[in-house]
Amino acid sequence: MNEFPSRRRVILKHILVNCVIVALLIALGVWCYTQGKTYKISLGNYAYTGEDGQEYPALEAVEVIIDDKEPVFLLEDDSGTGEATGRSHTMVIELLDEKDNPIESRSLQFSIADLDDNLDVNVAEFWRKAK
Amino acid sequence: MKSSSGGNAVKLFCMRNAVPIVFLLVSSVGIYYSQFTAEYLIQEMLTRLARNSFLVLSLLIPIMAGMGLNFGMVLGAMAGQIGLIFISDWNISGLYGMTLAALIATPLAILFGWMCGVVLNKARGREMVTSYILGFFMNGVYQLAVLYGFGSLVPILNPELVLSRGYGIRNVTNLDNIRGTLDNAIELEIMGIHVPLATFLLIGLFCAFIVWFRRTKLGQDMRATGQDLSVAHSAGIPVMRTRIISIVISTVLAAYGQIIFLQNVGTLNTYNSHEQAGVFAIASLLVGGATVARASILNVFTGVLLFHLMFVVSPMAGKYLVGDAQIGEYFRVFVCYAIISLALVLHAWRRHADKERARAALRGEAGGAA
Repeated sequence: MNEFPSRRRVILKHILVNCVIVALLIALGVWCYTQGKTYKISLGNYAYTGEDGQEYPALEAVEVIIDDKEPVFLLEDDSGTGEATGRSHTMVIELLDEKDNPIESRSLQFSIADLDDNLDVNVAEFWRKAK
Repeated sequence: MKSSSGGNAVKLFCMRNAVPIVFLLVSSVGIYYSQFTAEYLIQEMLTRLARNSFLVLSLLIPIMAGMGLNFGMVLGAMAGQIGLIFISDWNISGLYGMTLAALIATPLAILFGWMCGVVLNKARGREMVTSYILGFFMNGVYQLAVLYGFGSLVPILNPELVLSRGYGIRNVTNLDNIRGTLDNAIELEIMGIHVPLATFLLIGLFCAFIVWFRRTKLGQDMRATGQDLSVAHSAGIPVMRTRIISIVISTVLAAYGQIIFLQNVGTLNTYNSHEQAGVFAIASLLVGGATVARASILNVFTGVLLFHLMFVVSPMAGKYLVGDAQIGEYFRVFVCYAIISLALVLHAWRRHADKERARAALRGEAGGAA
């Protein structure tokens, strides 16, 4: 007559199943949070001193595209904001001529964890890194 | 004899579908006078169908369980809005944001639905008016929580959301981060008309769920409970538990429906968006030919189409007929709510007529047997 599981066992199984479902939903929530979190990134186009101690100038005119979103146009010593959703991103920097036509394009993978607390990005520095 | 039975069938059909027929006639006149193009009307109807159908579908399960029209669905709408406030504060975008809002809303909606179900079990036979008043009560609780709790007890970090005094959410919450996310998830354009395919797929999935759910043990229990409470109880069905489950499911689905609705609109009116959710959804369902005791998926789509067709055409029809769009809008409000009243009166009258017909048939059969 032991073919049916005991009542205690059934209750424990129910609790276990419910706990697993709740844990999965929490995990899904955390995943949605990390993947969907949108960060406002400060983009600047400034001269900077490299790790080698050399001074690098700002770019004349660039268009910055983060994850195929709206491009941000920056002149020399200019700044703007871009949005990035998720943890890892692709930044495409297009160097423009005097008629604002792209003459060279470089892309770079970066993660939010690589940036400082203020989420500042110097496009001129990223342009050199993307070389 | 045949023509007489045919006449009776037509009469019965007209009686059963009086509300949609009246609405269709009034809307047809409205379409003619509004001078809208077919493309514009089709686009508007598709958008509104995608926006509202999920909310209206959430009403079907409580009707199946015999609890009437669930005015308590505003509780679910409130839960959905709380989820949206959180994702706006955390700046979560796209489908991830919508999913997270739904995940946050789910436990809240379960709690609200359970509370609502327990109260409605205590008020058996008067579920509709009880859930309507419960909606008002919970509206007060929601306003208290959002106006005083958010920003003080519940941390809200985004200064754009919080009132200048430092706590409480602003009247309008911008949902730019999820605006049109679901509607535009799968791009489809037919002859210049944008079709929100992903939303329709989700609605289709929900319809399939309802069809499947009706065949499950719980679904059958709900139907039995809806038909006769005491007979279902005698058959060993836990009627009170079944009724609570039906309200919980409806409330959770209403929360998801409100999230879908607001992602389409793109703006959350923090203190008012949920208030009309219940009335509009119920009005749509009644306009589709549903009653307090009987509603189908077809009623949902017919109702949403007819109800929103009236919304679109009446201001312009009023403008071209009497020179003022506002009069058309007053006319729409008057006709819409008159028709809801008519639907409820017709339901009571039809129930009485059905009883009389059943008694007459019984007498006839008894007479024949004698």
